[in-house]
Amino acid sequence: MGNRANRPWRRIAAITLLVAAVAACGGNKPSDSSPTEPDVSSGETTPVTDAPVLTNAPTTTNAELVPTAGGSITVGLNSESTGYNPTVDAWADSGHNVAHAIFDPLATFDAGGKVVPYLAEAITPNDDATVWTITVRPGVTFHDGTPLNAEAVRLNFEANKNSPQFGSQLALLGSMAVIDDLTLELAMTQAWGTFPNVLCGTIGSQIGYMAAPAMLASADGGRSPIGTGPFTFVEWVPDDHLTVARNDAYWQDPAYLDEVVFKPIPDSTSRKAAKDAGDIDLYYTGSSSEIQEYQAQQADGEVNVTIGAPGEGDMVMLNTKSAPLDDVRVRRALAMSVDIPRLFDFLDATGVKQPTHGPYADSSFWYVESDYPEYDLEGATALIDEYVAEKGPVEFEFAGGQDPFIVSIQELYQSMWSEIGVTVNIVSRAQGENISAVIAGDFQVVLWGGIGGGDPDNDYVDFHSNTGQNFSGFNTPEMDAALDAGRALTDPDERKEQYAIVQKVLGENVPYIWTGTNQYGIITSTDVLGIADFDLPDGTPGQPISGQVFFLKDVWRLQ
Amino acid sequence: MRLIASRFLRLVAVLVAVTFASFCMVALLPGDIVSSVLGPDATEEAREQAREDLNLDAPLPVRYVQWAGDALRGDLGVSYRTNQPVAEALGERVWVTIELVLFSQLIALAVAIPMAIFGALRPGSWLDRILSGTQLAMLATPGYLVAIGLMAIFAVKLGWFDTTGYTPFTENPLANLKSLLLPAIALALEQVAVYARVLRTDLINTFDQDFIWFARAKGNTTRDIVVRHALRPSSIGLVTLTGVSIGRMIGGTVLVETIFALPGLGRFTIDAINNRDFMALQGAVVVLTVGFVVVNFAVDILHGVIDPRIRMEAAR
Repeated sequence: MGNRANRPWRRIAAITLLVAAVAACGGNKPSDSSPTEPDVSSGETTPVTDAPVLTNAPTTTNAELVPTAGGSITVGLNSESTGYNPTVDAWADSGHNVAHAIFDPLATFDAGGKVVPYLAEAITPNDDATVWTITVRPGVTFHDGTPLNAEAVRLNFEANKNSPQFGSQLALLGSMAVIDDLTLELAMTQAWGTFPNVLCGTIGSQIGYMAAPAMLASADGGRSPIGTGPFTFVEWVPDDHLTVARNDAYWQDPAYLDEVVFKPIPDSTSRKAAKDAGDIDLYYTGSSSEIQEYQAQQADGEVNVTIGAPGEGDMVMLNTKSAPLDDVRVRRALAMSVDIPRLFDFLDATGVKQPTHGPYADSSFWYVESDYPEYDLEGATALIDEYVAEKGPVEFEFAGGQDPFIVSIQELYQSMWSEIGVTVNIVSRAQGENISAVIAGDFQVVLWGGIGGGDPDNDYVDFHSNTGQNFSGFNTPEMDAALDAGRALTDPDERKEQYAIVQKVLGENVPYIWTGTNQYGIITSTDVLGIADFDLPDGTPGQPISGQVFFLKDVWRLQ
Repeated sequence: MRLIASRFLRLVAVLVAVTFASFCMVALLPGDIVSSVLGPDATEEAREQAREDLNLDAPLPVRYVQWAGDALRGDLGVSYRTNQPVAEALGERVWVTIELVLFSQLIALAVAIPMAIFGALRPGSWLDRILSGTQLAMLATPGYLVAIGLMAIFAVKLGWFDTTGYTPFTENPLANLKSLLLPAIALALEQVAVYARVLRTDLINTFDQDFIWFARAKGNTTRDIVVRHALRPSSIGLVTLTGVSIGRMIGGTVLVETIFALPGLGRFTIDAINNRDFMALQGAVVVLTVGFVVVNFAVDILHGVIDPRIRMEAAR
């Protein structure tokens, strides 16, 4: 999985998607930190994340079909975006899928999940990762014909640095210098070993997309976006469709499709109906039941289903500053009494979701075993009894959204926790109100999302004590030091040692209850191929799907 | 002339009341506008700047007066969220909703009027009972169920229509009809029942009038009696209801436009509410209020056309 961010879009996506028992992935957000002994050994930066994309769909190669140019596809999106200026408009998954067609990110992920340069030719740090040099690929032009050069990249960083929405993501960026036409040097205010993570164009992290200077300078540039991507913008009728056409002057091999039409269809039932009726050729879903239904159809050759790598998981966040959740015995007991198979059955997710025991999936490079409690009803009851004898009954409010499905998930937890003698009062709030309450610390237990799944540095703001966004209220000096060290290092193995400490501390203290991974299914018509194919500029395979965000460069339609 | 002047004054009063009420209601919603616009990751400095730019620290009445002053000069402002001029955004969407509402009114009337006539001709007959039962079922079925059911049968199963999306009339009239027919039916169904029941009752009363008996005695056919003598005096209630129901239909467009993914005013309005986008919401409220008042003004005029007594009373 890719880079993720701790920001509203990620959380809102994750919480919203609980409606369909789904999940999101996100980006990265640096903020103040105190690095220790950074060790940068190579220009290739950050590490392997989760397992590579799994695909059930026939790829171009295994189907032994030769891709041909031509044709058009219609892509169903979950929502409409406010605009397409990457430095102004904050995108959820839908916006990123359009952006991947029009813009190129400076970096992306290879098939193993490692961050590699993409639009940039190279992204290299100095010895202590305080200065990063971006070398721009020569001969690349924006759709309006202006060249992509170091100055254009600088203007993009400057626009993001000055952006009220995204400026905080570049808090560690001190100054920039254009060295020559293709070389830009970025001086950081302190070591920032994971800098390339924010350049991949993933949910919550869109500063890696390069927009044309003319577009950045225009007040309504977001309504007619100009990038360097495989497709050029044609027209946008908000809430109806956005059309792009193949960029024949693309810096890589031109895309196969002549045209792609993106249609925002906010209602999930209508989206599925549109796919079933053939009105759209491709859409993505996080609903386990829909994925299972389409997998059955795939067996009959009716659709193709491509499943991305596991994303961040479903989780419950505990406010460790609020009694009785300030007592670790209560927190451990709550985790010990969550029957994951029962939960998965309820969500129709058995066989789709994988249980998690921490912020990173068991298959993730970053995962290490911790002391996170296993299911043990008797042990949980004993811990609660011990607490009750000392301090009195265990009772708390459990907040979530207003959707009936969310409430039914809460009721399932309520029933499991009542088995160990805990009284749970369910609170349903509008999504915005719920997020505001969490930000204000006005909660005890909440269904939450947006933590874990990708690079651990993405979770810095959630786990560190000095970010103002550690909403669980749990932190330790040991964990702070590990998070700071992990941020400054560039060697994956050395970083993993630091994040092992973080996972160990979290596993012992249980500020979060982890349940299972979220997976997305990309559903395509049988004549739309190549969604699982995505080649990097050097011809090696890249990661075609990050969460629910995909590339359309190598997608083609059977003529 | 006097009628037009009094209606205009009423329009102004209604506009002030409705726009001020919507201004207050959005302000009272939980959640912060700046958080909605910038997200919780924005720095405190950026938040303060946004607060100042949006004039959020000024008292609500002051902000309202400023907005109203700009609106009177034709400036509906710029959406907080999208930076798009509100007038431009409304212009892109208003015709979709107007077309949808008009189309669904036509469908509702086209179905309701024959239903009412057949029911009124033989009240209590098996046909009347079947029609009444059908109307009750229409009233009792939630609009979203109708919308999803229509989509499942006619778009997914039979493939006769598009499930979602909109084609402008100017681009392709037939495709426009296809894109709007199912949403218009979903929106019309509840109105069919209401219109048919009101008209049926009025027709039954009219059929009992002396002039209808006289017409019968003269040997007029049933068709002539209904079309030439009974329908017009029985339509006052229906016409009034048609105007009043515009408001309810506009409310229904929020749901229908979302389900059928139509780029209309209903979806725009609900997005504006969800995102605390005052400017966009106020613009939408102005358009919807003006539309509602103008339609009801037209209904008043129609009353005079239908019934000379009303016209004469207005002239006195």
